Amino acid sequence: MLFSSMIFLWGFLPFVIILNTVIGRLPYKKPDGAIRAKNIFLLISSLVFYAWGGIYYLLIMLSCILVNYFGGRLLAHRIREKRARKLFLSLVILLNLLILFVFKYFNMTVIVIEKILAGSRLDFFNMTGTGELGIPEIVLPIGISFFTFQAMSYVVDVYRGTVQVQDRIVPFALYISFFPQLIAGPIVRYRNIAGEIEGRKESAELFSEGVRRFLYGLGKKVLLANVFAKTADQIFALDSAAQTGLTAWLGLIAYTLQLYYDFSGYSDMAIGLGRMFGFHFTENFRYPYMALSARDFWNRWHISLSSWFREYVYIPLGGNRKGKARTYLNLMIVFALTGFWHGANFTFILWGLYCGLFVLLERLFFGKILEKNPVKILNHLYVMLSFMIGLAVFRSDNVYRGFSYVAGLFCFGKDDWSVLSWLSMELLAAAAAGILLSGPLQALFKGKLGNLRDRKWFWTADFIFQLGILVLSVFSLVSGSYNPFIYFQF
Amino acid sequence: MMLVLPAAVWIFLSFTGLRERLDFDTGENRTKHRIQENTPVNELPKELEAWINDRVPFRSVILAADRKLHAMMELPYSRKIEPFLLKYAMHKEGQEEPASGNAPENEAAKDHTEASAENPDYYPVKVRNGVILGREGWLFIDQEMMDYLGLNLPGITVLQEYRDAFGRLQKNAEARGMTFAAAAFPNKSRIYPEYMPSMEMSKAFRLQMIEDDLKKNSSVPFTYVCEEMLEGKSDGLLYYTLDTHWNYKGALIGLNEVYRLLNLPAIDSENLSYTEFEHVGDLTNILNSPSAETAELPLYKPEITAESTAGPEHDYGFHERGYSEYISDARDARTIVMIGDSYLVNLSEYVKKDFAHSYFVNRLFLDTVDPEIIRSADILVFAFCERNSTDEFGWYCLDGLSAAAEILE
Repeated sequence: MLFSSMIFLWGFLPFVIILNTVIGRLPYKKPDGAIRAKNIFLLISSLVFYAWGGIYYLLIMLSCILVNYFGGRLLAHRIREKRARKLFLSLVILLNLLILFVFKYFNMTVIVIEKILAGSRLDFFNMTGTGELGIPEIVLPIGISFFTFQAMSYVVDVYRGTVQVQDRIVPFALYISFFPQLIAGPIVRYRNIAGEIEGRKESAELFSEGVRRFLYGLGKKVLLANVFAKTADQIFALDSAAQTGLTAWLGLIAYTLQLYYDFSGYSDMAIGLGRMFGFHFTENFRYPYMALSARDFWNRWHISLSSWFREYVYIPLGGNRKGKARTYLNLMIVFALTGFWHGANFTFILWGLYCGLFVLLERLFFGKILEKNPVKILNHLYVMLSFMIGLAVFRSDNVYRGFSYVAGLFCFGKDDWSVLSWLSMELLAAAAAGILLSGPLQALFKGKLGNLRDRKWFWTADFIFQLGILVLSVFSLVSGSYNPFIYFQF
Repeated sequence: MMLVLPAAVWIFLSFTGLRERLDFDTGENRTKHRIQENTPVNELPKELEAWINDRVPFRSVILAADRKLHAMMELPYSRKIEPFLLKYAMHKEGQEEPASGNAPENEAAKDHTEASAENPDYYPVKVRNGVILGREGWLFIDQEMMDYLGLNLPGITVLQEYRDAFGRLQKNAEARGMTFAAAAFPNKSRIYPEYMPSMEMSKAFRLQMIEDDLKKNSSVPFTYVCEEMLEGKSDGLLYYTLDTHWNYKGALIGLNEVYRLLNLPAIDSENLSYTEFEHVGDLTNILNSPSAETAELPLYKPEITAESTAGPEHDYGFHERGYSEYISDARDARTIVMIGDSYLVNLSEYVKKDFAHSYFVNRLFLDTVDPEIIRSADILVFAFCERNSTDEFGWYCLDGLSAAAEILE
C-alpha cells in the first residue's frame, strides 16, 4: 500500500487515526493501559499495511522480528561472557544479512554465476541471466532493506549497552514494523523512539504538525516527483542512438529532481505520519542540493542511512583511527556498501564508489579549496554536476547503458532542438517549483519566517496552501486512475 | 476531516438523488471495476484497490476539473510559448526548410504536399499516453507511426500470407453463393499528414503494397481507400480532429468504394439529410483532456432510420455483444454482412438503409458471435483499418480473415 494511493488516504489512514484516538480514550485498569492498547492496535495496523503487498512478505518480516527480538533478549539476559556475546551478535547479524541476501541479492548472485559459467566477458555486468541454472527468481519484499537495518541497529545497540533491551514483543515488533517508516524509511534507531513507544504524548498541535508535514510530502511526491518521473522514465528508455545531448540532460535533470522529491517526499510523509501518532522521527534530508561539497552533501542526503553506515560499519572498521590509508579504504568500503544497499546491480556499487571517490578526493586534495572558495555558486555547480553524472549510472539498467548515457550527455548536434518535444507547461512549472523548493527559496527566507509565524494571516495562508496541495494531489491521484477502454485500438 | 468529509457528503448525496448527476460518464467507455467471486486471497488487495479507485467520492467531478486545469495550463503553452521556443531553436540552427515528411508519389497526394509546404515550421514529435499531439490541435494515435514511417513494409512471405488468407475467405464465401469484397481504410495520418509533427513520411506504404500485390497476383476484389480519400478531403474534413476515426463524410467515401467493388450504385450525399450531434473524440478521452471539436463544428450524421435489434447504444451493440443488426424496408432484400472494426460504426449508418437486413460484425468477436450470422450473408464484406494490417497491436486482420474463413468452411 502506498501513502500516495487512494485506499491509504481515503481508507486506511482515517480508519487508523480514528480508531487509535478511540482506543486511547477508553478506560483502562492499568495506568499504561491506553498506550499498550494503542501499541497493539498500531502493530496490527502495520502488519495489515505490510501484508497488503503480499502475505508472503509479512512472513519474512515476522521472521526478522522474531530473530532480533529473541536475539536481543538473549544478549541482554543470558549471554554474559564477552567472546560468546560477540559470537552470538555475529550470528544474529549474519541471520539478518542472510534474510537480506536471499531476498535481495540472491538473484544477482545467480546471474553472476550464470555469466561465469557461460564465459561472458563482454556483457558480464549486464544484469540479464542466461537461465542456465534454472533457478526461479525470488521476489523482493518491499522495505526489506529498511527493516533489516533497523533490526540490526537494535541488536548492536543492545550488545553495546547503549539501549535497554525491549522484553515485550509488541513494542519491539511495533518498532520494526511501524507503517509510517516501514517501506521507505527513515531508518529509525530504537534508542530514538524507545521512550515514545512506551509513553508518547499525542496532542492536537503535534497532530496538526504531522498533517502539515504529511501533506507537504504528499505534494512533493504526487505533484513534483511523479511529473519528473514521466519524463525521466521515457528519456532513459530511449535507445542511445535516439538520444541527443540536450535530451539526455533533460532526462538527467528530471531524474535528479524526481529522486530527491520522491525520497524526501516519502520521508516527509513518514515523519508527518509519525507525528500524528505521537512519534518524532529524525530528519532524513536537509536540502542536499544546497551542499557545498561532497562531504556536505552526504551529511544532508538520506541522513539516516549514512549515519547508520557510519555508526555500524565505518567506526567498527576503525574509522579514521588507523592511519590515513586505512581511513580512505574504510571510506570506500562504506560508500560501496551504501551503493550496494540501494539495489542488486553493479550500477549501484559503481555509483557508490564514484560518490566515495569525490569524498576521498576532497579529503586528499581540494577540500580546503572548496571551503575557502568565496564564489559559492561554483561549489554548488561542482556538487550538482558530480552527483548528477553519477545518477546517470545509478538510474540505468546496467553499467554499459550508464556509460553510454554519460557519453551521450556530451554529444551535441543539430537534432538537439528535438528536446522541445519533451517539454510541457506541467513539466516546466514543476521544474521551476522543484528547483526553487530544493533549497534556494528556503535559503532566501532563512531566519525571516520566524517573524511571519507570529502573524495570524501566515497560518491562514498556510492552511489554504495545505488545502491546495491536498486538492491538487487528489486530482492527480484520481486522474492517475483514469483508464479508458480504448475500443478504437481495434 | 479533509479526507473523511467528502466521503461523508458523498454517502449523504446518494440519498438525495444528486449523486447520479455528479457521477457522470467520464468517457472511459467501460464499466466500473468489479471484484470477481473467486478471486484468490493474495490478489484481493489489488482488486480492492481497483474497486476503490473507480468509486472514489466525486471521481467524475474531479476528473472533469483536472482536465480543465490541464487544458488551462497546456493550451497557452502550446499556442504561445512553444511556437516562440521553436522559432528561436530554428533560428539558432539556421534552418529554413521544413523538416516535414516527403510526399507519397501518387498524383492525388500532390495536393497534400503543397498543403504541407504552406506550413513549413518544424513541429516537434510529442507523444502523450500513446497519442501524438499534432499541429493545430490535431491528435493521432501513435500506432499509426509504423505505417507513417514505413517501418512495417511487407516482405514476400507477408504478401503471400495476405493472398492466401483473402483467397481462402473469398473461395469459401463464393462457394456459398456470396458476393465478396474486401476493403482497407487508411489511417488518419495517411490522409492528413500535414497535421502530423515533423517526421519523415515514408514513400512506400504497407497497405499500398498489399493492394498492388492482390491486384496483380489474385482475383480478390480489394480496395485500399486512400487515393479517393485524398481527393475527397478538399470538400471538407473526412476525419475527426480529436478522434482516430473517420467522420460520416469519410465513411461515405469508404463505403462508395466498397459499393463500387460490389457493383452497387454510389450513395449521393446530396440526397441525404443530416442532423447535428455531439461527439467526444476518443483521443481526448485517452489524454483525459477536455474535448473541443472546434475545427469542425457543427458535426453532422445522416438522418437514416432502421430498426436495430440491439439497445440504443451509439454503436447498437457492436462493441458490447459483437455485432449490430438492422432491418429496414429497403428494396434490396439481400442480407449484407460486414466484418470489421470500429471504422464500420459510422459506415453502417448508410448501409443499413440500403439492405433489408444488415449485420456489422466486430472482428474481435468472431469466435463468440453466432456463426449463422456470417453464413446468412448474401453479400460479405471484410474490412479493416490500416493500423490493423500488422500483428503489432493484437488485432491482426489476418486472424480475422482466418476466423471468418473457418466459419464459412
